[in-house]
Amino acid sequence: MIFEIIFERGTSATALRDAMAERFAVPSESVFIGTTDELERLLLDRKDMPYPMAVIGGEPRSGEFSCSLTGHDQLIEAVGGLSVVALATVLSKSTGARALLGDGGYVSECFTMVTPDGWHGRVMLADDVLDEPVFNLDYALQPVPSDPSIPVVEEAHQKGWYPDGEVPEAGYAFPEDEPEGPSAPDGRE
Amino acid sequence: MSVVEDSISQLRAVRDSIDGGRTQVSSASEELERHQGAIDQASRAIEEVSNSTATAADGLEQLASATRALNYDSTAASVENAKERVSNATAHLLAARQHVEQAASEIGLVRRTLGETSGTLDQSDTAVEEAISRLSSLPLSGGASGGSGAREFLSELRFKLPRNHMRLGNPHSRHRLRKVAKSKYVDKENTVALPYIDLVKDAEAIRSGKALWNKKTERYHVNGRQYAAKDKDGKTRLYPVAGDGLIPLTSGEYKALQGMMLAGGDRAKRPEHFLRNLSIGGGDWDRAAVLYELTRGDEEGDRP
Repeated sequence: MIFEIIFERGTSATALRDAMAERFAVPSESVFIGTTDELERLLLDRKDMPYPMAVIGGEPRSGEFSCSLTGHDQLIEAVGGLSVVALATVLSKSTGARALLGDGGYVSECFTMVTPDGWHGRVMLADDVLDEPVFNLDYALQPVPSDPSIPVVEEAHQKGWYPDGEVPEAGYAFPEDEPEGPSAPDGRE
Repeated sequence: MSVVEDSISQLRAVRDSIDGGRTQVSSASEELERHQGAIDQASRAIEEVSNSTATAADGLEQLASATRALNYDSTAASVENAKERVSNATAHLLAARQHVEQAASEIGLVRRTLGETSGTLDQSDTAVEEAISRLSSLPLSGGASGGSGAREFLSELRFKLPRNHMRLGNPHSRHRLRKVAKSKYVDKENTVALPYIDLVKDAEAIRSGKALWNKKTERYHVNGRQYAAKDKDGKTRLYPVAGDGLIPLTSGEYKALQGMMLAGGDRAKRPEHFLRNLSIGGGDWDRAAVLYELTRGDEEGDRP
């Protein structure tokens, strides 16, 4: 399995690498910072070099979210089998940056967004990023607790967007992040 | 004729269409059964020939040892030649087995789709019967509208398309198998259409009201395929989901297919970074090789 988490523009690549080293003891040498082309040249020059667990940078991205972290199964093993959304949440809290990841559905503009308060929910991007890799928010599919200014649109017929017909729920990857009592935000579905 | 009587008449026509569809599904199922039988036979035949080839290879190896031991050089050369032919035959058998497995996989997919279609037809038939029954029992008072009860009930009909279906845009070109290399984000399951599938034609059929709408799964059903839809402020799009000629690609298969396309189909020339990418398994390359061959057919109408 390969996955990609895209953090907000300006997120420090070294801060992400350091966060993975501090929280999960992911060896820094297993995280490559640079473009895919640079990585390819390096791999060609050094035939004995193992493929890194994660690549920060990779393919060019632009827009509000442009700092890409690509990982695969080995990284998931190294972080103790966390889900991708939980890993993104940890890194978002560490860096203070919001991040996007795939929502598991067929609609190519729909992503899951995680915010530094530990919340995640689904958002729609302004353009089809599968043609032009520009990641700008358009609207959310439910209120975003940490940013009520993001417009919310209730799309019809969302069950058809997902292979199993189950619409992913917004919420918190870690129980300790959930607001307590009646002051809980309306963002949870 | 009142709206209610007109609706009953239209529903009877729909019921007749459903009956016709059911007959076609039944014929298609029988046809698939026959193909499945042929594939099973081919598979068994390949297995038998594989066993014979392996036995022949063993025999030739023993013969080669014997002729070398006896210094029969010309015979040894002939045996070596025969071994090479057996080796070539084995390679052809492997290729044939891959084709048979691919065919079996596609037939399985079509059979599942037929099963789903049959279920949808049954549901629609039940809904139509219920609609006719309930409409027939409604009082014909209420003027040309047929009464508010009739209007309310008509709005609940299972096969009624959502009001916005006429504005739905065409599926994105990334869902075409040969466009796959242009996509910029791979961390999503992607459903791609084989070259003989006309996605735009399906979209036109949906816009013109010829599709069935499944209220439970919230998908359109047309020409043996299912589509999800997104619709907001006039920016609308259809997404192929499953069905005849639609193939789900995993991330590994997707990246392997990109590598095959960049290499022009030559496995020996795959880009180095794709070869070293641990997220692509050996099976991904095999499936990508089959899919790459399918991209070389005509854009439309070239059903394999």
